[in-house]
Amino acid sequence: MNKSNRYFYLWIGILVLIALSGCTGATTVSSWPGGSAADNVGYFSYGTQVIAIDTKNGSLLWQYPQKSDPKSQFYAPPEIANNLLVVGNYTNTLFALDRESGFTKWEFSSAKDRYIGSSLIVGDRIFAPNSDKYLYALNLNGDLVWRYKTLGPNWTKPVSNGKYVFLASLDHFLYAFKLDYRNDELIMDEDGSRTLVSKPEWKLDLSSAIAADPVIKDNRLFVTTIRGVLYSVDADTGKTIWSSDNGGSIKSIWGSPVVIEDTVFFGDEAGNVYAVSLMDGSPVWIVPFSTGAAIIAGGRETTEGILFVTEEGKVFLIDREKEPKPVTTIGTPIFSTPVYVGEKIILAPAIKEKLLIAVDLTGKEIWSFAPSE
Amino acid sequence: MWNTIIIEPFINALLFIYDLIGENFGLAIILFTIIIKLITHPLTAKQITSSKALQDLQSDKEWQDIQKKYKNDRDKLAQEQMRLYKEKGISPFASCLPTLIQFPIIIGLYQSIIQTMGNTPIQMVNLVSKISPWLFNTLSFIPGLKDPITLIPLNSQFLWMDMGKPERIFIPGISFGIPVLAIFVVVTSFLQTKLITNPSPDAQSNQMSGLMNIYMPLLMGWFAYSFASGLALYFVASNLITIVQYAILGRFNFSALIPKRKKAEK
Repeated sequence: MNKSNRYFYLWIGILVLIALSGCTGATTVSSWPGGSAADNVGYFSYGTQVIAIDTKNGSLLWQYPQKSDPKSQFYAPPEIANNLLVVGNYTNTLFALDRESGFTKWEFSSAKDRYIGSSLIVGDRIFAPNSDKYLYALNLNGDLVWRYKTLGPNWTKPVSNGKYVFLASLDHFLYAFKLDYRNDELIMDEDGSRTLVSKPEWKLDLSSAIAADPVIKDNRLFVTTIRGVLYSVDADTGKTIWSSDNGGSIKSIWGSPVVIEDTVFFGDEAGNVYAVSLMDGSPVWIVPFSTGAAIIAGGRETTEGILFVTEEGKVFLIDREKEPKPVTTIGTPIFSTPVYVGEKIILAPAIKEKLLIAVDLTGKEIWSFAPSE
Repeated sequence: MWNTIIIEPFINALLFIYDLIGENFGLAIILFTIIIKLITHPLTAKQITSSKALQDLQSDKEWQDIQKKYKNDRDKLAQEQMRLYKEKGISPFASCLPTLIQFPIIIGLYQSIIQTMGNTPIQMVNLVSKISPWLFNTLSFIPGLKDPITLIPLNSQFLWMDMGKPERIFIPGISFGIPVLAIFVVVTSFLQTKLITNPSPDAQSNQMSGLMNIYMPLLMGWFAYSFASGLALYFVASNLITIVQYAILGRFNFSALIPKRKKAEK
């Protein structure tokens, strides 16, 4: 090999390394902001911090942790109940914060993977799904009460009808568990503790991964899959009541459906919004409403109808007469389900320069918030 | 364009192999790497042969004489070099061109493996948007094939490793995890560069190769240490297959593995 050839290979080697290092995604954002709201305060997790925002004017109330730690990334939407805010991070820890101050109350660090889905608080139980395949049930002091190991990562927020807690998993199954188990109903887990639920009350195979939070209404669960099917499931028996895939034309569904009165609304990756009958899943619209861009976020009910946001930053409202109309376009992608509080739509477009934008139902911007570095 | 031509076909081929072999992602990466290496083997063979011809020229008597004769006349030396290339039927670019053609394939292979291992919401959305049933529908006569979307999420467990995460083995009594696969990457990268690099008569050239032989394996090892183990598995498979390719073509340089002893001066 002559000298010029060796130089050539050296440069090729360097180029390969540059190309490889550029596409590993090691330092890129891996998800979108998670938001929730209560009593005119919005709580958002994005990147290294969880923030509390006064939704009246967009002012920052507190941030957690005070000083960012690049190793600790938050994307799961915070869950709020009473004075408690529960949120998990990408480094396997579930935090309980004081909702007023943002101070830590306790940490639960037994999980072995990321918290991507939101937790659910029902009474004195916290149900925390984790990517390590477990659903953890904790008491309000952060002590493990029981857990169940599914067959895959759990990214969705559980829901409950007061009798059972339901978990939709990436492993294709929808599970139902009791809220509490007696000690003699639990078996030994890998770590030797008697905390493992051996069998769910029921489970249903939906043949495809479930990435969107299910919703429950009138003791019926509405669950969507990335294969593009909406299922209506009886919450007591776990039997499918009906399923809807519009003749196989629905693309992957990443966001939660919204149930209003007798209709279920949901959007798909192709950018179509579908409206189907709550009773039998039959289409309410002959042709789905096309937004023109992928819908990754879930729908959000407002006083005027249902909001859908698209990957291209467009916001649409399906009004109470089921008529779709554009609200606004913010020009940056939106993957997060919008938060609706105090007649304001809070959009989280996942860019640090303008993390949150509050608009009214006419699309007029009220305030925006950019975190300080 | 890049996604349509390279990434999407690669991802779907990888998923197809994954489905075919019983949903083992580690084996799918190894098989996929072997297939891509087989497809690009003619290019590799051409590159190896051309490199060898160029290397042989370095020890050619006529070329050495020309170098001596025109050592102070760079233009004339270049002219003579080109004449010699022509006479001996050597194309100086014949060894570079196959590498340039393989470059996007290597990057595409790497990117598709990374994207298929997606284990965060954004990665998952990106992956699913690239899945096409075309390959599966075309080969639907193969029994047991599934709808590719139902393969998600992939079973990322392979031996003791989770292909979506950096690999470590924890041994009782040792407070840190041992990156076994990253060590394999360093060792196989070192072996690969050592075994396929033939010594040059030019000392400066040899010095540069020596440095590359150290830095490249270390850099690859650092990638393997930091990123998902599926990537490290691809590096190991790729290194081993390259070694086999060179062995088949008889271009092994085993002597490079044995440290040279300096002759004792009398």
